[in-house]
Amino acid sequence: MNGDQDLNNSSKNWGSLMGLQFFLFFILVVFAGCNPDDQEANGDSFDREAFLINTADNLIIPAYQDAVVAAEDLCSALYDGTLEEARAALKECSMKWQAAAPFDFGPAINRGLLTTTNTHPCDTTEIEEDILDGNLVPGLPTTLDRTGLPALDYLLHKGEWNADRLLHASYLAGYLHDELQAVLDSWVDGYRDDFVSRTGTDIGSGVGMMLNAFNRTYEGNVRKGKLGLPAGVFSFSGNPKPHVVEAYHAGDWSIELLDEAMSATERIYMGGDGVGLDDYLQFLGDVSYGTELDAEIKAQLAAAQAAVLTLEDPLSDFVVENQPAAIDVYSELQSLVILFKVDMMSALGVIVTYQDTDGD
Amino acid sequence: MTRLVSSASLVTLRRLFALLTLCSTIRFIAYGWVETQILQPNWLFPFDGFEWLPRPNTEGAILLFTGMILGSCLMLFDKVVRLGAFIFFCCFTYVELLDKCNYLNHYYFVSLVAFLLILVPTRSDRPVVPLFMKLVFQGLLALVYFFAGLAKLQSDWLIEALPLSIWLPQHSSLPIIGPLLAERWVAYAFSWGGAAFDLIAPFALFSHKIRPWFYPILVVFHVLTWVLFPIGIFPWVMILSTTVFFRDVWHVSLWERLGLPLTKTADFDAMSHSRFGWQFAAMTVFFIFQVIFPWRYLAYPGNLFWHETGYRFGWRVMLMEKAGMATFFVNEGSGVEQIFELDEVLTPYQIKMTATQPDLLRQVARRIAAENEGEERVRAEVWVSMNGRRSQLFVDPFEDLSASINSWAPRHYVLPLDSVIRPAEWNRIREHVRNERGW
Repeated sequence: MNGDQDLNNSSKNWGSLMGLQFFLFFILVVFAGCNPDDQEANGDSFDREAFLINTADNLIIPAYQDAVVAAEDLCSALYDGTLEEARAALKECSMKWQAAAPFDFGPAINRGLLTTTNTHPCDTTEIEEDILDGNLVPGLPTTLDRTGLPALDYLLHKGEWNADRLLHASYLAGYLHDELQAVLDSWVDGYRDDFVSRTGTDIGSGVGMMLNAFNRTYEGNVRKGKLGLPAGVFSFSGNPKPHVVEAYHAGDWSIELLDEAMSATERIYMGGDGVGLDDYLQFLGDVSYGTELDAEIKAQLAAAQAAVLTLEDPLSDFVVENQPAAIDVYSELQSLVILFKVDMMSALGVIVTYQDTDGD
Repeated sequence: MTRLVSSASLVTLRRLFALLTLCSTIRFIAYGWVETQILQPNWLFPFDGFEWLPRPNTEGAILLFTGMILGSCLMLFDKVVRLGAFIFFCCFTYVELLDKCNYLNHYYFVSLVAFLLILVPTRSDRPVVPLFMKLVFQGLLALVYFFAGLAKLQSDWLIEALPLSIWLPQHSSLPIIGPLLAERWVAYAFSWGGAAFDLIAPFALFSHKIRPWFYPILVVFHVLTWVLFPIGIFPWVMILSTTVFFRDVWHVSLWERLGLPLTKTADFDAMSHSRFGWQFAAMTVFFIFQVIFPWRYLAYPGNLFWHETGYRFGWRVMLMEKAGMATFFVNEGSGVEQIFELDEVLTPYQIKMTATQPDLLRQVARRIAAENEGEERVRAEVWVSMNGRRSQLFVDPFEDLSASINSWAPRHYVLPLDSVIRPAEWNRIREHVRNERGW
């Protein structure tokens, strides 16, 4: 029986226990220094803080400022302007909104800004009831399709323009303005500094939040909402759904809005005149997923914008009469989703999952 | 093989393992993953051959997780240890089999160790076990490192330092080591070092001479992976279980110092060798299976990381950056088709996991077909990027994925890696291919 041989062995390998204690100490040191947000971004790596500052100061805050001004103009046009002036102000406000829509995180998502501002199609029956009874409570899950730009689009373009409609339109415009203002205030009063200080790449980082919102809104609200759904790409038997286009009741701005949204997408990608995603990709120093990918995204942005211009307003008629052409344009928008969501996100190594879990 | 040796190291292993499973079960519950991974998803994608397992409702989930906690506690506190291992094994493995999307190598490892603890007597008042019972744990750990190391001997890992050269720079804002992580050569050092570490580990751990030097390196290695990558409890599983290689005297002293001394007098006469016959047979079969099963990928042509046929249960941990996007089309014939919107039925995590795993793509397609019980065909345009390559079409975009079930057969619907077609080009030729393929 030699099973107890080990038991009688010398205690030489106490050394490994000592080693263990030493390395437990090492672990503590690593832990102690493990809060990435405390540190300035290093000069050798891509300056994510500069990227975030540019995004916040030159893209996000100006976009909200412009949208707030446009909403103010809409309110005053409704107060003392003609119906035509109010319509023009609504169009301007809808255009300005396109640049703010992609930043659906932080204060915007806390207030549900995207959904209260632009859930289309609107529920015209409910809106007619709201005009009469004035019982609308904005911001509830059940009233999202009764507020914002689509409801104003309906009020200003359909039905007989009268004092009740004016009153309700003024109320909705005021709500829209106040929500935009509240989000802008949050950004200016602190969230901006919080945002630019989150220089990591995890889900809660500035880059992570911004890119996930960017991808989600481009995929869901631009590609699908403005074109895919109306063109019938998602519907049973492939039937077009003309009434779900953005600005359906105005009739002739839908493509301008889509074009504006594509310009906003490009502007965010380029970082305006500052540090953008294009610089980030080029910085990676790799040909395949760096410079080549950047060139391909730029080419596809141009192709998608050119394709959008081949559409003709009213889009609601176009998707019925020229459905195959509309689907071709959709395919160009879809190709950008692949480049953004698959190629760009894996090149940048930003976590795309919206759910926290272990990997392996 | 059947000579008796001290069971001290197995007592340590069992207690540490129970502590880990207890903590990780509580962590799983506390993070709300019972809801997000088991209860909330509309669809689950069970392992092939386990589709018959009833999906637990809330009460069932409570029962399963209570079982895991109870089993862990029984193992931890030396009460009916093997029954505890049995309860834990059943509940844990049940949950793991429910959805492939949640597969992790270390979950598989936990199931295997729990299974072995059903067979091996590790009560602290039983001072000896036959040698093979100790060896099977050590052998399993050695295999984990060995296969993990072997899987790194490929060009992406060694020649391109991928995916580490994508992953490491993300941590460039860490203090002290951060700036280094942005350096290309560091990615190479980590890649080669990691491969060498994994391949050396099995031998270093068995050697009484090298182990005292190697174990601290092992701790550093696993702690680093824990800091840098979201791999949950895996590093701690490995750090704690590898103590099973330590000398028995270390384990005996450990429990003495902790005030839980092990019974020292060995009642050898009560141990008849013949009693271990069936356990020896079972563990031999178990070990041979563990040696052979990870090699099954050799039967499939193409890049294993791309087609993933024979990928799971092979200790391939943190080896690739793979991201994808799948669009499913339900085709009613005569060219009329609609997009099936995954986000209405799958969780974001399931959407992410299914997009890059061919067998899951087929399971999704079959579920979609089952929803529309008609003549529909289901195809998918899937773009996947792997290890810094540009995205490319992953599976044949005009293959009816709902027409066949997962099997051991090669997955011919997976397109070869390194095709060069770009999304814009695909837009131009799609209709041409559609006509040619009769869609």
